[in-house]
Parts: sequence; structure tokens; C-alpha cells
Amino acid sequence: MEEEKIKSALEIAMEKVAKMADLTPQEIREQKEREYRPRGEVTANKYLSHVYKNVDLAVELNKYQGEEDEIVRKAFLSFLCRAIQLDEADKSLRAIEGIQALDIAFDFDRVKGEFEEISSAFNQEREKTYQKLEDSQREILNGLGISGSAVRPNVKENASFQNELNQMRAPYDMRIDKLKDKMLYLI
Amino acid sequence: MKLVNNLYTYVWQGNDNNCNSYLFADVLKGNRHVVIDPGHITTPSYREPGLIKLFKEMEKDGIEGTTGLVILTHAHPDHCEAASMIREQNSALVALHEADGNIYKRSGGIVDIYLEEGELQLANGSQTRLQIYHSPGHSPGHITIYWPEEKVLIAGDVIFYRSTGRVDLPGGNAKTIKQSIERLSGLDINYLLCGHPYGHPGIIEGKEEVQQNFDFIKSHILF
Ligand SMILES: [Zn+2]
Repeated sequence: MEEEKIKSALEIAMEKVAKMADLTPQEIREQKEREYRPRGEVTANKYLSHVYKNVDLAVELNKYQGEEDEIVRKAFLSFLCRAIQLDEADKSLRAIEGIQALDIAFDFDRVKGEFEEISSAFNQEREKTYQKLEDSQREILNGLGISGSAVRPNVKENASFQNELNQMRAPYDMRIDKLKDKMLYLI
Repeated sequence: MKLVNNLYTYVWQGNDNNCNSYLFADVLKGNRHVVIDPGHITTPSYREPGLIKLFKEMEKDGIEGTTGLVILTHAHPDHCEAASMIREQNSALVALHEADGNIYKRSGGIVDIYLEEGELQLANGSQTRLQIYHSPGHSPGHITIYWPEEKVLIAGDVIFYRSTGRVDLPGGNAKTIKQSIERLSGLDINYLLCGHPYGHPGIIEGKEEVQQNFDFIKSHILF
């Protein structure tokens, strides 16, 4: 039974090799991409969702050789770059730390610092926008005869807050994108 | 029916499940009203027109004009279903505690105001000062509304006549409802207004009656 299983696995591998012999180098590369890219992405995803600690990450990334290694590492890098988002500071900083596991000579501390600076400036401006709208909503409620310490206008779901927020975040998003671009092409 | 000052009570008199509603008349600018728990638009089993019945009762009481604010003690459909319609038809605002906000929004409701522990002032020349208490247990964001001036407590589904609100629904918690009731029992209450007419209209009048009800609940149900 066991022998049969091994045999068939071998057969599959041989079939694969036979098929590959018919492929152009470009097609072989594409096939490898299809097979190995998800591995890098899964590793990155597991890392971000705290399934791996850093030590496991290094082991995971050093499993591959040659072209496969390059594909896995690129996929890992681009997945983590995509995870860097303006309003998700903890996740973003973890993503940058994850990229460091690729062991590339690059000033990651500077990137982290820049991210923190952009994120904190954005949060401050968002808070100001929120406060401004909350004040104006309180004034409207006051005019209707509704006030007091129990009252908190639902600003976050207010359409004008969402509009202002979208406009306000655009330049910050651009700065974050530039930051990502710096890392995206490290491999 | 007028209970005290400008507070009206609307005890549900249908056969299906629906809540009692309460109304503060003319307390907002433009003589607009505040409705607490408008209930179902149409009750689910017997298809009774809950909201139309409420409007007819209000009309009988000579309540004219529009509602400016709907307060929900919690986001169960038998208390809040009609809120969106009143909001739309009257350009009213809807207020509830944030911890019940998601349940309400999932049913398509829009929240204008989150109510937290503290004072709610309603002004139309004179002021009506209400105290909002976060009273979880029946639902995570259940609030009760206390009017110190007239010693009225609008209790929603926390306390009923000789019983308490269910804690077996999602977000319910027996320990927290006990704490909520314990806390409310310390208030000076002349009128305890319950969320449903369970075996009793749910309007418990008189300090002694209210105290007896708390005592009964504490000795027979909670402790
Ligand atoms: Zn309920």
C-alpha cells in the first residue's frame, strides 16, 4: 500500500518534469511563480496574524534555494508592504519588522521612524477634524434643545466627517505609498 | 395617558409582544417631543399595527406636532423597530448607547447620538433634566432614564412587575443585570415605568410599591 503511494508520488513528479521539458523558460518561470508565490504570502500572513514568532520566520524563509527562494522572498516582501496602512500602526510596524527578517542591508529603523512620524501627524489631524465636527454637531443639537454630558454626537459615521477624513488623509496615504515603494524593490 | 407633568405613558394593549412607549411632550425647541422606545411598526406574529396604535393614542392625548428625538433603552426590535420610520418622517434623531449600536445598525438603523452615563438636558424655554444610567444585563448597551424632578425611572427591560429582563438573549448577562438592578434600587423612585406590560401594565406607582417590587425581585429572583 505504502509502496504504491510512493510510486504514484514519484510518477506525478516525473510527469511534472516531463511536462516542464516542453515548456519555454518563460513558462517555467510562470509555473514556479504560481507555485511559490503563495508560499511567501502565506508565511507573511501567518507572521502578521502572530502565528509565527520572528525565529520561525527566519527558518521559514531559508527553506528555499535559487529562483524559488527569490520568488518566495519577493512575495513575502510585497505582502508585508501591502499590509502597511496609515491607520493600522501596530500592524504596519510589525510588517516592517517582518521585512527585516529578509536580512537585507537597509535602514529599516529610519523607515519605522518615518512611518511613526506620518502616522502620528495623521492621527493628530484626524482628532482635530473629529473635534471640529463634534463641536459643530453639539451646537446643532443645542439649537434643537438637546445637550448634556450624556450626549455624544455620532461623528464617526457622519457623511461630512467621512468626506473630510478622505480628503485629509490623501497626502498622508501618498507619503506611506512612497515609503512602501522604497522597500518594495529591495529584492 | 398623561402620567405626570409632560410625561405620557403608552402601555401596549395588543395581543402580540410589543413594548410600552413613553413620551415627553414639547420638551424640545419648536415644541417637539421625545419618544422613548416606539416599539414595533407591525408586530411579528399577529401583525398588529404597533406604530399606528401609538400615534392614535398620542392623538387622543392631544399630542400634536412632531417628534424630534427617539431614545432607545436598547436595540431589541420590539423596542426600536419603529425608530427609523419616525426618524425619516419627522426628521428626528435617534439616540442609544454605543454598546447596542452595532445590533441597531445591523438592522438598518442610523444612530445620530450615542448616550452615555450622565445628564441629558432637554430644553424648550424650560429645562427637563434627565439622568442616563448604563444598565447592562438584558443587553450590553441597555440604558435606563431617571427623571429626578418627578422621581420617575424609565426602566426598559431591566425590571418588570415582579420580574426582570431576560438574560438568555445574545449579549445578556445575569451578573450584570443583578448589578444594574442593585444600583437602580438605590434611587428615589415614585414611578417605575417598565418596558412591557407583563401581567401588569408595567407602570408601578408609589414609593412603597416600587420598593416592594425591588424587594420581591431581590429576594425571589436575583439573590
Ligand atoms: Zn429587550
